[in-house]
Amino acid sequence: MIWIFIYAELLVFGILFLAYAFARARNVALFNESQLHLNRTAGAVNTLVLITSSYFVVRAVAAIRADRTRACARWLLAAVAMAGIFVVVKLGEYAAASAHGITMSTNTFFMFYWAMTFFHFMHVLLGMVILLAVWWKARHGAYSAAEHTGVETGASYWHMVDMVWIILFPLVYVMH
Amino acid sequence: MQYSSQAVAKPYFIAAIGLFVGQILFGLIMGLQYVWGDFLFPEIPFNVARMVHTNLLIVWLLFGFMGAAYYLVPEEAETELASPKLALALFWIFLVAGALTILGYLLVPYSGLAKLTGNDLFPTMGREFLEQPTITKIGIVIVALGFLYNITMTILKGRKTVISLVLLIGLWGLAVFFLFAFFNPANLVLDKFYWWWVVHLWVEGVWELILGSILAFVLIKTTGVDREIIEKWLYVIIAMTLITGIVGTGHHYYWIGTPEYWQWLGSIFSALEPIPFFMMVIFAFNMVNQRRREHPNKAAVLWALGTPVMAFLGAGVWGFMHTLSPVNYYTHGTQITAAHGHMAFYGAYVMVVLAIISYAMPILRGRAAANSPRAQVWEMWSFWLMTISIVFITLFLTGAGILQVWLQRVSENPEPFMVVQEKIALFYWMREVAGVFFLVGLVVYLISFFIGGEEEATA
Amino acid sequence: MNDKSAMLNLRPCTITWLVLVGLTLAVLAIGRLGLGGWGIVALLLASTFVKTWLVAENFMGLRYSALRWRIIIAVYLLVVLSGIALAWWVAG
Repeated sequence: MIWIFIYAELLVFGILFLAYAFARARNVALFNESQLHLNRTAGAVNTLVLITSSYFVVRAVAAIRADRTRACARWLLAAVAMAGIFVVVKLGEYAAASAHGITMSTNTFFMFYWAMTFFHFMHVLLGMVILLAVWWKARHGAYSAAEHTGVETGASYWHMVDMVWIILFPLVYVMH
Repeated sequence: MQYSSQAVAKPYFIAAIGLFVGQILFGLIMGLQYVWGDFLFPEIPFNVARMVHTNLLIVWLLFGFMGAAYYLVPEEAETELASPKLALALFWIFLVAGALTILGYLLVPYSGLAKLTGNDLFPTMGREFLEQPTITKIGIVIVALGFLYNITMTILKGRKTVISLVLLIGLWGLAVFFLFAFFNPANLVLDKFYWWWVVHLWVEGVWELILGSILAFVLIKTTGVDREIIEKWLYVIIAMTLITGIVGTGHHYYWIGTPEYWQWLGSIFSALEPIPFFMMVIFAFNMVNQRRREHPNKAAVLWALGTPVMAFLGAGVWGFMHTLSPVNYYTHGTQITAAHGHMAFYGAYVMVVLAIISYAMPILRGRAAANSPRAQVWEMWSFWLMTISIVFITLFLTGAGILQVWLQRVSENPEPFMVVQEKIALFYWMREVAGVFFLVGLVVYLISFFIGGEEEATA
Repeated sequence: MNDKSAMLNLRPCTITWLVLVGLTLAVLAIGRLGLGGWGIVALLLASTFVKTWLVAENFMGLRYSALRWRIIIAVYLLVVLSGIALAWWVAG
């Protein structure tokens, strides 16, 4: 079931990516110029943070399959901490953009920048809530090697959030 | 019936059906006025007929939703309703207030009604679908609060299921977004902006949660499929509804003076709004295919299967046709919109209310699980008559709309509105004929309630 | 979705993580140098495909599940990434 949801979410993001790409095709100069205002290093740091967070979630799943509940909870918490870094960096980027008076109305590029990254940002926040809920249940021994559907579901969702960012970063920050 | 307090649903359902009949009659009057301009003028001018047609629809659907909630929540929560008396009192208040408002529309000129009800003190009238006098709006809020109190307390003291929680969120959302009906800024752009928070976030947002939960309830009851499976589907469907529907509000913001980015956001997100409806189709057919028992109420199953299909076609496909801003640039406010509106409302909301009525009414009337097969045959005939009629109404209006867009907007030499209206009159006549068949279907539906009482308590 | 009886094999996941880090740093380098042009775009899209595919196969564990789920993801990635390539080609 979570897979149907994940595919549907990927579809939404996929259409956003394609809309961005074809909107760019109609206004290449504007997109290339605007892209230079983005902080590529911040984007890359966030990519590293998210893939590492995803990896920690993998470790959490591995731990629970070996029936190591406490290790599972620890890895989950570490994953959430990484997500926290993502949030901080992203908010910093948003603050810098706002300080330069860059809004959704600035131009089509920044409309997409705000819409896509913010939509993804909301997914990160939701993912954090889900991971925290799974962590809380794991800590209270709700999962075991035999039954840990909740961990797997939360993990799959989090990997989806990661995957979307892996496409978003080169597309919006780097490619021109 | 498992809980005696579920019986309060019955008057709500009866009122809903009664108002439904009224809605269709005014629809027919108005449909005729399209081609016979001064029909019933000056007694019932077109604008009044339209107002009554749309307002009755909303009010009877609200009656249906409330009836559904009163029936469904005690059974889901496994406890009696917090206060059946309150539910009955609110029923009469809502019915009388609704009737007075409709009479006000019909008997007093609209401006007179505004003066009479003190609209100048707190102006909220004069906006499409929110035409109700301010005091009626306040009445609606009071009824909604009492209703929500009753439902919420019932759920709090009983078992909490996904179905009842989704329903509760939907109903609370319905009430909260209605509050924007009181927000009436002088700036027309802002006025329209927030007006859609009532209209769009109702029908393309919280109402879909209500739809999903009622449909899930009927499917659990009629198919016997595990609650767990149905709940998972419900989660995914409502998540997709909210992801696409909330930002999808943007598809109403193309031409009202809002920033340009709404063209993109509205187009992209609303284009995805068919997804949850498509999931609903898969969901309903899957559940019926995996059924663990043959429920004797075949008619209810038919309605439950018809709902997602027609909702997907009407809301999903017909909505998608004109939701992209470059397309909407030409189709905005034409008969294409009317076509979409008719099939979407029928498919999504009329049919789900009729589905829960079909499931609950026999039980409420003490007929065990279902009506007699003969009564069900009549009901199923009414299903097909009404559904096929609405398909034809939609097709004829779409034809009218395409011609209208072509002659009035796309053409090298655009023709004036009224000239075009003359040219598409044939489609309006055909639509009216389809409307008459719809009324026949509705009469058959009413007759089905009076058949087969003698076979009580079988099955 | 996964074969729950089996222990999760961590090694491919760790390698995946290292590859992801490496590729991300490469993308950053390209970005900071301001490189562009056909070769670079192709390179970026290819690396994005590799990264997302690795996440799907190893992190999400699709390699242990039915073929049709893996095909859906692969088709999705190919459609989106080639769509982006098409848009770049249209842009000239």
